[in-house]
Amino acid sequence: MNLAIGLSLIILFGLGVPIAVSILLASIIGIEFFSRLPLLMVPQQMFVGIDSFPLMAIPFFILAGNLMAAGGISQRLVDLAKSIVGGLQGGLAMTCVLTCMMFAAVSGSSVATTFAIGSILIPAMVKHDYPRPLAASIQASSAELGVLIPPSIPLILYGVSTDTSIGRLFIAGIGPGLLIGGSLLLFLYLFCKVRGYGLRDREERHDFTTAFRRAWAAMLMPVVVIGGIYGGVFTPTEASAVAVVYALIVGGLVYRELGFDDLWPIFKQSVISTTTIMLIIAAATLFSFLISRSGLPSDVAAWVTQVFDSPVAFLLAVNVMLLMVGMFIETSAAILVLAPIFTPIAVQYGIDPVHFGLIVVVNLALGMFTPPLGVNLFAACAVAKLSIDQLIPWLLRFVLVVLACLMAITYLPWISLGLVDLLY
Amino acid sequence: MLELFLRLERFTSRIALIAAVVMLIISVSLGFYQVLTRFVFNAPSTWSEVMSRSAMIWCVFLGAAACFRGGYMMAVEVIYKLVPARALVWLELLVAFGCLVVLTILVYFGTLMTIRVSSQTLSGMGISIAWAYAAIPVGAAFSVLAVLARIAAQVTRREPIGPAEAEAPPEKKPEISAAPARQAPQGDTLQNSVKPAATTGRVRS
Repeated sequence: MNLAIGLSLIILFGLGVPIAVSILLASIIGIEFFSRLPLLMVPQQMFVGIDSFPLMAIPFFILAGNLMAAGGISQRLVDLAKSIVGGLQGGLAMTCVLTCMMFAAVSGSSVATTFAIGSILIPAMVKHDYPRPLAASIQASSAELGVLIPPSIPLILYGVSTDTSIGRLFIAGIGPGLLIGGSLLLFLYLFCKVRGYGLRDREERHDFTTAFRRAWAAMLMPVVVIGGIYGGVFTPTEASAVAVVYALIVGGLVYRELGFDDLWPIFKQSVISTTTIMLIIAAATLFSFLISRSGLPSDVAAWVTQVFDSPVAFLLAVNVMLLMVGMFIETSAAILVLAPIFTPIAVQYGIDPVHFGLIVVVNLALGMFTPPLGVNLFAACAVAKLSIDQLIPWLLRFVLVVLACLMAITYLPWISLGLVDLLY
Repeated sequence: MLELFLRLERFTSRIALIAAVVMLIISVSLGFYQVLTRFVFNAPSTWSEVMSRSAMIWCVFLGAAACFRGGYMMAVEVIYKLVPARALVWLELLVAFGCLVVLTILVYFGTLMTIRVSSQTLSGMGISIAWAYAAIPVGAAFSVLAVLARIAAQVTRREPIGPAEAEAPPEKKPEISAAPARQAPQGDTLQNSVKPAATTGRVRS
């Protein structure tokens, strides 16, 4: 049955059938022709899959992020970041990284970050004589921070599908997020010095106090969300509902850039994003149920533990596999199907599930902007009006920087777990 | 005849989308209400979480029609670049057929499942869980109309073939599109909302 499901899945993906429909159809083929299960379990498992309160943090954070983006925070965060690092040579490039780090703390999606920040900073960088492909590469790689710095949609998915504490995962995401952000900043600082980019970046800067006074309301949101979850005030889902209300207040009353006319497109877009992700989750629940019922995970576990005799070898194999998967398959589907299979194995090797979650998410996120395919890449190309092949030579440097960070995050658990141990 | 069907479908898909937005709003409001009852009124609500979850299920399945209609469903779209333009319509027909098979199964077995669970109640409330399960067949039925309308419009060349070009400009067409990639329209609304700010002089430069 597994072979039949797997083959039909690959064929359906290849034919361009929507991912959710492909997963459902492959499962239906498996149920109808290769098992004695009733088709009634298709709607039943789909229902069970999305009937989960922790999962609802995803649509709420999507909505909150969209509201914040339309509520005028993007430009304010850019100004704030610019007031901090803009004075250096290459300051504009570094502003992009820093803004993405701050925006990531409000939004849970890296592609939303690319559209929101890239549409402001890519034209600005091009105006300051940065090559257009370089500007797009900077944006594509720094937006990846969006899925690491809490609130993060992939971390919620990992938490739900492996029964790991989402609060801990969020805290654990801070260290790797700062590491990747810091590495990109350092790399850009040196790169711009050597190549002589960004000599005029000092111009048109606010001083820090002015920029901060205009942006503090937006920056308070992550404090409320993370503080609230960590302090046990509310669950991640309740925090996301609070974030929606907070975004409405900031956009509508504090910044006054969110009117009633803006709400319909925001809600429509949020429903569409929610549906596409949640239907994949529903379909993947059915799929995972069939897979685990067939005993495949324990077969895989037995095989893996036989082949890889040390945690290091296992982690390296996981790195390589997830990198390949992440380059082709959408992140949430990959997490839902693979995390429940590989997390128990990782635990057998003595790896902390929270740490393993960060490895999975950083790994898949790297795939999101690794050429030739990658969602973030397409988003950045769309904003910069470039084709992917123009981008590739510039992008490889950033891929290598993040790859180095991934290795550090994988083999130095304290980067993720240090803060968790300190706080819990 | 086809015009009439397309007009009917435009109406049903719009109803489904509006209902989905309403459900999203209800769901978020209940989530927030739950926080309020616990901290402000100091009396945790017992029913809000269940209701919030059910509203979200309705939101997801009702929103499906709009996603199918606009082609926003994530797919691996490499094949659209490999297949010659003339053959694309056959590919679209094949994809639409796959979607229709799944949706029909969801309508039929979703209805059976809804009937089957009608004696169970949502925990903490006196309401049958069938009200939540009904989202699956209802949403799938709306989606059947949406898929039929999309393919009919494409076959009769009323609408362009290919993934989600209706709303995204050509250069925004991704080969693999994930949900967020579909946020191209959101990027546009964003630019619109940022530009006025720049012209009013509240922003640097």
